[in-house]
Amino acid sequence: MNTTRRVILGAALAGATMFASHLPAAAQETIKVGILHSLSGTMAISETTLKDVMLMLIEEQNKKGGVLGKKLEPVVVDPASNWPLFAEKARELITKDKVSAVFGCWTSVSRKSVLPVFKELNSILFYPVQYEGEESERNVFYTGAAPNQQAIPAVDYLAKEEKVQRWVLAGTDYVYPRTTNKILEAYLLAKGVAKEDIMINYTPFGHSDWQTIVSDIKKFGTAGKKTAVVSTINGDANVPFYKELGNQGVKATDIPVVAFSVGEEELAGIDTKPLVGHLAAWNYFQSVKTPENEAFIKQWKAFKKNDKAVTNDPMEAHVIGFAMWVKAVEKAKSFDPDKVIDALPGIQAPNLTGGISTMLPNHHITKPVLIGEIKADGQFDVVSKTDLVPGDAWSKHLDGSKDLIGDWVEKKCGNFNTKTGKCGGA
Amino acid sequence: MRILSCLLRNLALAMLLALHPGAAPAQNADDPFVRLAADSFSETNRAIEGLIAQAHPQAAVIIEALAEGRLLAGGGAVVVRMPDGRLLDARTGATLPAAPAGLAAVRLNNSVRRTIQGALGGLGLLHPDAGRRIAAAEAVFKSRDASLLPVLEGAIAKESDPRAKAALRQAQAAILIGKSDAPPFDRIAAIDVLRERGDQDALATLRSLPADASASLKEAQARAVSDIEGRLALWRAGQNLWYGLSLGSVLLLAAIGLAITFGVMGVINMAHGEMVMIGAYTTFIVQEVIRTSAPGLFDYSLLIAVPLAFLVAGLVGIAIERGVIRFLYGRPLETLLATWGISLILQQAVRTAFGPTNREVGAPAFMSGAFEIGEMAITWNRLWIIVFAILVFAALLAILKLTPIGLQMRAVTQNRRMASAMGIRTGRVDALTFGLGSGVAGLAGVALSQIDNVSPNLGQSYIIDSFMVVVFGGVGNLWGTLVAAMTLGVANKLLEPYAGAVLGKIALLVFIILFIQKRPRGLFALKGRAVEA
Amino acid sequence: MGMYLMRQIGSRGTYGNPILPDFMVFLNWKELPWYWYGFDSFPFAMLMVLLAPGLLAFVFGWFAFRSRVTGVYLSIITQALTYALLLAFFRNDMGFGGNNGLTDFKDILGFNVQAQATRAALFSMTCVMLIAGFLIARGIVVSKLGKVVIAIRDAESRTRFLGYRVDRFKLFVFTVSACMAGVAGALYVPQVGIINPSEFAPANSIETVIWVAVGGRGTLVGAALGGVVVNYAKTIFTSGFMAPYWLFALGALFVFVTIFMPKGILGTAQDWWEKRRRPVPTTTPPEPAPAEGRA
Repeated sequence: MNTTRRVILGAALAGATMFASHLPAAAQETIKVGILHSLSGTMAISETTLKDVMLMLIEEQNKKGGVLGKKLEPVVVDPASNWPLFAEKARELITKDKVSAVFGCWTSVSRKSVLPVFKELNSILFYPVQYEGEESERNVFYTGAAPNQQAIPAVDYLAKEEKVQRWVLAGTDYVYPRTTNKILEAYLLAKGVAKEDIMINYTPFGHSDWQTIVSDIKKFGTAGKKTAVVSTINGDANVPFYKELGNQGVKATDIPVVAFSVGEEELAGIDTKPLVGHLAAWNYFQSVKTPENEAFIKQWKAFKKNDKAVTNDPMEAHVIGFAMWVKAVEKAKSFDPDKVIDALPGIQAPNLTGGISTMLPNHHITKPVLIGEIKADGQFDVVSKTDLVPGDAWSKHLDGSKDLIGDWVEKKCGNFNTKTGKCGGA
Repeated sequence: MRILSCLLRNLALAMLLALHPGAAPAQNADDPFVRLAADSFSETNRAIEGLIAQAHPQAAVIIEALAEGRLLAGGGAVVVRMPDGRLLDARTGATLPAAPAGLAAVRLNNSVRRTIQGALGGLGLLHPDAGRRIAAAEAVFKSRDASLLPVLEGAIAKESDPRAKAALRQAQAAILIGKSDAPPFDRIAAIDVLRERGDQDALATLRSLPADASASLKEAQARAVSDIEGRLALWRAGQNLWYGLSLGSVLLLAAIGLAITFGVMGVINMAHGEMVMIGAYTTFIVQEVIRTSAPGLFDYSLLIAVPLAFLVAGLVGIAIERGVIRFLYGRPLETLLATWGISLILQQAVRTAFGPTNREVGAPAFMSGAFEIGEMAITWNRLWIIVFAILVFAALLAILKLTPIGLQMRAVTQNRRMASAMGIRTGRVDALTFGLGSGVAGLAGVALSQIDNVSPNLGQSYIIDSFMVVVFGGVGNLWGTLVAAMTLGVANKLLEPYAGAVLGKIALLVFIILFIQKRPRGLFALKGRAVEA
Repeated sequence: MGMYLMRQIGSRGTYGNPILPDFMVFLNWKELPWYWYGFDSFPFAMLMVLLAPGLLAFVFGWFAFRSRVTGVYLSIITQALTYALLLAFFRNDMGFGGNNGLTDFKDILGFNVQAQATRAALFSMTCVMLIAGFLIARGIVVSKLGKVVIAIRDAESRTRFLGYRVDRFKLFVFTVSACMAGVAGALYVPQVGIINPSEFAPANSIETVIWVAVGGRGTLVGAALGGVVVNYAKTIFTSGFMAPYWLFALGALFVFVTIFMPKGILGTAQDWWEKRRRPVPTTTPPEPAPAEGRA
């Protein structure tokens, strides 16, 4: 059907096709890898570096002789932060460029948008960003953090180390913060935090006037109990939020803010001196001192030809995901998606923080959880690190999903209900 | 805060020791210097306590250095790097000739920072500087540790500075409130002290009155609480009004350039937001240059950026007008299409040149932080932005009303052919008008760089709001733009506490839609006889 | 690509009034929630596809046209409305899936949306609807009512002075085009597979206007052509080595078309053809947009 459309269009606009850049594959030996990250539009701010990191990894792999004796060839497309275009581009990558796997997407909505395409055309997507969980699909491998690999350990840290008793859950009004906050609220209530000690606040995308909310937080923090802010505020809105925090003098020693979407990239745009001591929870920080990480940072700076280039968590997720894909292909001795999908669970690859991550049957991976405090130079000082935590596709703290597991090895099912013993949701 | 009280008690002890020199030598069993070198936050905490407990002669120097990241440890040595670059052995205070190998700064986390704060505060309670004493009293006020009462009373008796004395008294009152065995008379007096303080913290302290307090005490507390709450509610209304004005000034800045290009010239300039972005990036470049070549000028970076941003954005605006828009006069919808195309190009150009990520624009000293009027916290950057917005508005009004070029602009926009017949070079005036509007947008960019992201998407987030303001105020009327910006800003901020940020915004948009139905030409419509304006 | 054509016709229903399409695009997305909410009766859902956007357009247009909101004011308040709806739909508690939108549609009338046959059927449906929409629009344009609409386009106040109730004609056209846009949306979503509130974004409405401008204003075929050209250009530009620079190309296209081909591809081609046939040019049709905002 898609081809029909293309034929019609091609006939109608034959002249235009001369602009088309899809040169026929030079040789049969190359294996194509799709890179589906927005290079323009609102998400370019986050996704562009992920495209670069993939190009670097592929280049590096080719220097080592490629995979199964074949060179890899990256195919870059720009879905332009436009969700339907994500689906269209994914289809193009799979059907036209015949890629063996796709590394891409940032927002949940873009993943949801391409999901039916990957299922229909049976291909593989590596998704490198922390997300709200509640999903496990056969064709998708989630190398970012699930809520239990980021949010819950962060709250535990605050409760234990900072003795926090009062919580502000502040987020941008969309699915990831809503779900994460729902999980956190259930978790905190179960831990005995009183309902009136939790304040939940949502703001629109790109919110830039934080005066009222920051002063509300200050007010909430004067009830005599130690207060902390758990922030799921999305990308762009963070800079004005932190600027306002700094200006209104909210210090980390009084009201610490722990963020799940603020990494080295985001901090590069802020003067971090007033923010020293505020926290972030990730599975990776650039400041981690391991030989793997130092080698990676060096390689990245050389690739970007920029000594100030920073690395961040989703980049590490792509590093792990790519290494796992290569190993799975080698194990399956084939690029066939079905074989690679079956080979992936159980594959291990070193992460950059000194451990070995494993792909789980639910297509999530094991990762350590790191808590970092913001330093004056825009980096993080790691103040806590857990052992490897297996990613839960379905949260144990939500009523609808606590009985569900994803298991693509034995049960061949993404939402297996352990209570009823059936596949297919709650 | 338990640590703090422990510190202060030890401090009292230390003073005692100081009075009897040689009474007890420092114990070295739990050597704090070993702990400092252990690279563990809890060990660092205990090292600080140990230093205070020992009344170590170097304690103040070491703790201050620790706070500022100048305390280095490694290979068993603990070294203080003085601000002037000298290295001191922390234990003895002797100057070191060369740095021992393997030194790294002792790391901090929030709990260490709090311990430091407490320790410095505790040291400060007896500090000769009154400011330090007030800070220490404030720390005690928050900790409300009853064991500090005797120390406080001693300090109050000695205190001569009235402000420090008040702070100490408040700290004392805060302790008395929670102390059930204190004389009832003292506790009632304490409630009065807190009522006079009358802020959010006082309220929190008052509420901490134990449930077993006597009836008369409870009554006094209830009265004080309702008193403070009433006062605070008033202040909060004032604070919201301030927030509204500040949001309004941002809207005004973003919209006022558009009021010229769109309002006066009738060009639907979708690239207006990108002019704002260009202004912000100009600020970024100015700061970069200053950072690398003349760091001393950093505080003046914004002042330097203001004329430059105006010029750069203005020139880009003139180029756009000459290159594209002059072919499209009289076809407002097509200006929309063409400028939309231009805005795409500008965005991507900036993305290619500067990268897609946010750029850091620092705040000069005079725009950082906040000050308080009563219970209202006013941040300096917002205050300056309001002042700046008013200045820009006044300047623009003056240009349009008082200068020859302003006269020509008005003439051309009112009747192009007549103006042309009078010898005005309309093409030049068009270019200048558009340049002026764009330049003003560039100025807005300088201000917005202080509160928002400097990223290629900056302009996009303000373009809709800007159009709303101009249309609400009445196209072609600068005063309308001013009133509209302030009205929308204040209304938004007054709605926000009740409706939330999202619903508040929706409510405002619906209001504008309804308002335009009622008054199709905005608040201040240009009066005229034209049937189709 | 068929759905883009559909959308075109939907927004072109307003024929010649180039401001109105701004408003139309967002209406496309109203209907899917009705499936979602157990509106399992297909005919009823179909009816809602027509009625929901139509009703909204009717109410909005009723107020707007009655109080003679015109020109830039109309386009700005339509933008305000879409923006408000965007914010509202982003709110998760609205029940439309928030930012993630609605996705993963399984079947329509029992047919799997991912099956080739269903897709082919949807595509041919789209073509049928396109032709139907075209015929309806054509029918309106050539009727007596259409003549009045064209008159309004060319000189609104004169038409009013001649005694026509301008607001009613405009309202009719506005509502019809909203219904068409609704159909377009209903066909678009199952084919693309996702519907998300960011489709409300003002940028999207502007893009639709641009398709029309590129294709050629004032003609129905031109609108369809523009939709195809712009989207095909987008498809090409966003892949391969052009990917990081495609916005330059797209932006340049808009500027180029507005300056050098004010009548769009179709209009320019027509002019060129006429000139070749007859050396002496006949009177060109008047500019569609009256001189707004330049009084």
